Amino acid sequence: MKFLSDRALDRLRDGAEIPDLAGTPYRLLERVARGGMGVVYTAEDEKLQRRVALKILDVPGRESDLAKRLLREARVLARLEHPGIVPVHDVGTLADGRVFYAMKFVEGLRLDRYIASVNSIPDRLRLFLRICDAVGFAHAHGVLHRDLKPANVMVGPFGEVLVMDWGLAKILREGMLRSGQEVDPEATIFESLKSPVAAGGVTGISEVTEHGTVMGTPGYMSPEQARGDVQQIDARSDIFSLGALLRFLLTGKPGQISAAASPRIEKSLAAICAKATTAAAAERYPAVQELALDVSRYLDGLAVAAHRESIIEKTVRFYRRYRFFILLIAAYLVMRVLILLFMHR
Amino acid sequence: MSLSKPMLGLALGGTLGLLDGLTGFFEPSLAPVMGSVIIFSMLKGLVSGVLIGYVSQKADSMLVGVLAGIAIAALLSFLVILRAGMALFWDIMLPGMLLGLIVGFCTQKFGQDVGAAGSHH
Repeated sequence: MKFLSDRALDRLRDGAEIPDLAGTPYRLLERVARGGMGVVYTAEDEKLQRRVALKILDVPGRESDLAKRLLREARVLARLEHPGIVPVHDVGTLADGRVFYAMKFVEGLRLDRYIASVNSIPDRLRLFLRICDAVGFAHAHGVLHRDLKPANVMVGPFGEVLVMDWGLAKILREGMLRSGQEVDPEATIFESLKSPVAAGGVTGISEVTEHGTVMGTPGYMSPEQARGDVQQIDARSDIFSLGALLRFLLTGKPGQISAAASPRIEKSLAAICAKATTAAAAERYPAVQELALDVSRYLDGLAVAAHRESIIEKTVRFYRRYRFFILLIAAYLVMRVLILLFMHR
Repeated sequence: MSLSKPMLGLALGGTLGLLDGLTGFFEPSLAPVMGSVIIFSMLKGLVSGVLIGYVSQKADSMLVGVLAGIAIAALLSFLVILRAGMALFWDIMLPGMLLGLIVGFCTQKFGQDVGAAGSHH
């Protein structure tokens, strides 16, 4: 027998979840979204009188794996000061023991929703380049995102692009953390690798903890990540995700580009996606900057490294790049001949 | 296109000057001197182009660029007319002015302003 409707149960659950922000400088405004680890709320920072987003863990206790992961995410973000990465303002524990961190409140749309309003391929590619810029910055600081997908990218009202949700981020270099802190206390994540790697067993690579199942998003997750091959995960895993994200920006789907499904995607762009998402990591772009460079070269009307052009393709590209001048010179020639004919009639 | 205005003027002026010279093949009477016609037309285009580009760099205005282009090209064409004879006045002057107009427009629209680019550093 059922005494309460599902809706009523949801309301009760939401009511029970409402965090008590007493003792913090924040005043709760509204719930924004639920994630894997907890809930994101908007709140007002009463000291600075600004809106912030609070990511609050579901379960109390600073020592749980989830709490460590949330704290680690906050620390990773705090060290990645970049216009394309959402900044963290504060971290703390609520009266009920739940860990939270406060970050910039980003007003905008998720990339998968925003992209519907962007019809031009060059504009979509420019957005992609800004994502690459943020991810490349993180890689340069020894951090892998490991869950890049359209839902984890926000586009603000002024076109600012922010890479969100660094909850699965992996720290590759110990230097990323201050001395005295544990090295990447929560890295991955794979069911098949539940036994922790012995301390010092893998120099400079994160420990594996007892967390959950394979993390990442199908379609955007590299094969080595899906296999749980933690030793093989490096910057090229994020490059795979970026390739899938690029494909999504071009076709609306992360999967392979078929000529029939997307006839208007040029071969060079399809080749960039294919190179970035090759199953063998060694055949992908070695660094995000190189992927971004190829996309930039496409935007500038230059040949891309991922695709060897035929003579016809080279000619078409040359014509597109210099179309105005070619047409201008042709017009000049026509006028010149007309003048010649007119003068000697 | 990331050429400075004088460089763009040089490239475009040279190309149009060369094409101008090549149209001499439509005039059978020029056949014995086609080599000189092509070389001098191209030289005229190159000099016009670089001068127009230089003026465009100094005066950041489309109207000034186009008018200066026409004037410079007309002046150089007139020098050629003085040598070739007044009988060819419009044969030389009209294409020359057309070249000046196009180069003046293009250098203003597409040429990089070196001074402005330098100020970013």
